[in-house]
Amino acid sequence: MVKNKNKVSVKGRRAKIARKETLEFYLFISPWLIGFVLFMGGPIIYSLFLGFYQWDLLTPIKFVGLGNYQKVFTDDPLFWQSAKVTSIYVASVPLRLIAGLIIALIMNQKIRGIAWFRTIYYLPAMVSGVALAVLWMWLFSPRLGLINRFLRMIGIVGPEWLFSETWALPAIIIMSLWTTGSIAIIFLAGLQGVPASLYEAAEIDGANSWHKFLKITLPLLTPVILFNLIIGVIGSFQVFTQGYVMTSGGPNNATLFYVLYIFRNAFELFKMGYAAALGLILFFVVLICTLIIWKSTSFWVYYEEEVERREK
Amino acid sequence: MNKVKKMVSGGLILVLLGSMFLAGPGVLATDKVVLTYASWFSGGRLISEKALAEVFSKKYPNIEIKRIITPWPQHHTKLLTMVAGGTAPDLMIVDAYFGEEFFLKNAFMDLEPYIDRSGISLDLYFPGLIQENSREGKLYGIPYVWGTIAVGINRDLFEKAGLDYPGPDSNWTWDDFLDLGKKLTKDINGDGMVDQFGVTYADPWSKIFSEGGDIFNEDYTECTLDEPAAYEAIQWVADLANLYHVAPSRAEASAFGRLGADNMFQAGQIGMAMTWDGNVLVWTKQAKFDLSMAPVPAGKLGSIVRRKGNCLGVSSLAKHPEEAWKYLEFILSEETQEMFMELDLIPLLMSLAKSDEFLFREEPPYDLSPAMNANVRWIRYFVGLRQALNDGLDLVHMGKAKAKDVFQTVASELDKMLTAK
Amino acid sequence: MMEQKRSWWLRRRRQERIYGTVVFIVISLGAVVFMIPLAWMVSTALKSLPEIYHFPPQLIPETIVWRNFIDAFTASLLPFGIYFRNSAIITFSCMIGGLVSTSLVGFGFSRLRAPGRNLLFMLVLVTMMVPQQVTMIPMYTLFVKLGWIDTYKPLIIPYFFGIQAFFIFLYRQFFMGIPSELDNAARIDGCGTFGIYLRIMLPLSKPVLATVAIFSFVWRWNDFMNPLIYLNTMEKYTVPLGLQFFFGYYGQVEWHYIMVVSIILLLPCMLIFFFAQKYFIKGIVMTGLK
Repeated sequence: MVKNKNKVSVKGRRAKIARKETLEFYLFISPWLIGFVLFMGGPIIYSLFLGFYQWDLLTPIKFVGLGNYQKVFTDDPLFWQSAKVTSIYVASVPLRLIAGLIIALIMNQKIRGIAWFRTIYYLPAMVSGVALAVLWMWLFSPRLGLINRFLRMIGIVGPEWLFSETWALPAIIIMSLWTTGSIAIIFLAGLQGVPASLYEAAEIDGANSWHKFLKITLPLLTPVILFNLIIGVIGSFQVFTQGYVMTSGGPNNATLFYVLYIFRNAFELFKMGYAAALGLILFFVVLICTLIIWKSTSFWVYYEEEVERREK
Repeated sequence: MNKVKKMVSGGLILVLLGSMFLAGPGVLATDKVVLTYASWFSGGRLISEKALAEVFSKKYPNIEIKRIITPWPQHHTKLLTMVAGGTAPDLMIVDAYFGEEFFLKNAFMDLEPYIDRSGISLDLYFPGLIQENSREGKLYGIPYVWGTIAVGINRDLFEKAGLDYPGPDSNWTWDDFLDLGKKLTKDINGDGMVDQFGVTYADPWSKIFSEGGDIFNEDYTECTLDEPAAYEAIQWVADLANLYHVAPSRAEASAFGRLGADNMFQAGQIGMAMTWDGNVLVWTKQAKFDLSMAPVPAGKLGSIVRRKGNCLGVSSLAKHPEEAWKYLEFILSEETQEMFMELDLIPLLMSLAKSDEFLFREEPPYDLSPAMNANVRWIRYFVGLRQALNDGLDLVHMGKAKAKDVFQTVASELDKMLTAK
Repeated sequence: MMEQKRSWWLRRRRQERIYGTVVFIVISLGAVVFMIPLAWMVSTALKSLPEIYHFPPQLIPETIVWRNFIDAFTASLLPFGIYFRNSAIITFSCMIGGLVSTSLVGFGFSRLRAPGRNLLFMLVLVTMMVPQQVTMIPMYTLFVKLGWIDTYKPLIIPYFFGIQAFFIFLYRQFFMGIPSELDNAARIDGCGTFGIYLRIMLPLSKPVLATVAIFSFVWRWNDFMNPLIYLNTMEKYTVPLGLQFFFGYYGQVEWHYIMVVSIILLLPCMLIFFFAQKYFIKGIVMTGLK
């Protein structure tokens, strides 16, 4: 009799704790939840449904069902072009991650004046978008720019960069590598989280730097790599300013980024509904990519806490 | 009881403060009318605008003008957001590139009834510009800021080369233009790279007009860029850079973007700049060389020049259309037009804009008649036209293809767009 | 035996010194190359307009125009002094709002279990996936209905409600990397969940706090799109928005002034970064474990 009573109260207590945790969870995320309901939710849902309408911004909206989507997939070569351009840019995310990691490793060195070096390597990420675009337009200028001048010095005739269909997109990708300071900072925070004791233990076992990096640093960095990967992918799908300011999508649509194409449809061609349809397609693509990356984490991401829990 | 009272009154005060906080500026009744006026005018231009507004408020003390000034590159995005979001301004200015859509969707109020009422005679104002802002008998706005293509001349470079520069009355032809261009193109320091170019660019549309061609036919049903008069002119312009090398190629000129050649002219590296008259006027302030204006060269039909304006009108969703019209009426009045001259703005009244007082001046560019007296034509832009034309031009300028082929495709694209309308 | 060990250590130390010097040289070279574009910014900022277009372009200006640093702010007749104040108000408010709200939410997602947690977290990520160009107008309309146009409210208030999904994600990942033994130990001591957040998570996440502070500052400080859309009165504008005015209607772009303003814009960012840097120092994170 007494035994049964204990069983029930244990279960009941667990349920009570679970309920308390649920309440606490919702309390903690309430700022975001309220913000979502008040500010973000409405506009997002509206934008996603706007794709089923036609809207020139000046007159009321008109329902067209799947009309926009039909046009996108059957009668819009620029859709495919812009999708291709953005996809290439997204495919260069690993380059940015590697560059960021290298810079983070640099920032992590214990040498004199590291504070100054860190600032120098992060500085590019702090330059405002437009100034950045203007600066690199200048650097890439085929005749006047530093890059081609440097190439001329070592005997190479540099390409026309932003004026060449083949080199415009690579130019923008190269530029993106200069501002990877942000990615580096996050890697740095992750690097700081690796206990020195692990390195020491490895050294005693005779491991060299490369070994240490491969067997200790990288595995423990995987949550951070995951973060930078997802953020990098989501961000790269939405690249806009560079195309808008530097090349206006040219030459010959070689840098017509997808979001630039959306912007054009919305604010230059007065086709807001069509732009929203394009936006919805982008949204799904990004969502699917993110989900794929997320699902893959069990194969390569190592959370210290989870491992400990499993081991218990 | 006290505690409860305190809590209730405290709560009421909070609610009151909160609602004031959320509701925004108070809605106190006054008889002052506040006109919202969306434009991109900043810097020196803004000073002139404010001077005009001051005179206006002396005339109408109950009308106040609240300016919403957006930087030029983002002006239309902001304007469209405002209109779409329900806060359309009373007065707004729209670039001719976008105007058509605003006209078609009646985003501007028709000013004809107001013009009739006020007895203003539109013939006294620049006809092409008035036309640009009208459709089917409705007038959507007044031309406020506009440009005419003209040629800026770097007199110093001409003198150095021992050449005569074309004067404001010159009848020079496109061949003369090319010829002078060749003579002015030099490799000064002998390093194999040209340091000084003859010309910046030639406006292909002005050339097309002068050779008897056009972008569209009379009734705007067909694109005529696939005709020789048109594509040959475009090819000729591209050849200036690619074939004759008297102009820098797009890539060569790019210092800080697409206006590269103009920048080179400002730096004194190019002899002649074909550009908007407004540019020439602005450059005289900073130019370290003697700068004057010449007319656009003549083709088979003489010199026919592109003119483009902007539409300053009243939004159809304006809260105070009557008062907004009063401002436009004020701008069009003769006293205000005379103020324009004092404020260094180009008057809209032909009589003033073509007066000796306005045209001739002691300092550069000395004589504005090449722009003011030009034989002009304007392009009726519609959505997508500018992009299609620029894309076509880009291809030809990159040397990728011949204008004949490119504009065959462009013409059929534009035909499609026209029939879709 | 001792002799072997000593010589091993000596060799080690020499290796380390050589390694250190090589690293220093490589990093310095890299820094120099990295700085070249920035050097060009400074160079352009100090030139006169005609000299900027001069070919061939020189890194060191023929005549250094120090005046540009004054003229850039006065010649355009824009009230840059007020703009800097406005930028500061908005940026700092958003920074505080972001630090507080996103850490709370990130903690919730990382430590507390509840039904719908994963779905909601996906939703957080989803808010980052819709391009701003499409949500711009509905958001504007929303704020019109609230009467918040031409005020700083739309620019600040959402940041107190965790609108920056990026930071929520960052906090969550970071918190998940902190072992839960600390939590359990604290609970045994009678600490509540909020106490764990305040007394354990936050102090241990100084590097992330520093990161959020830096990013938050830099992004809000440089943002011109939001002030552009929501502000109508010129006196309320911010510096980046004022910078846009240098792209004139008639092709007279004042490159030197643009560079001057951009450089000045950089300075507060550099300061914040310098100040926040010390939280990246190794060792802080792992205190309390041993």
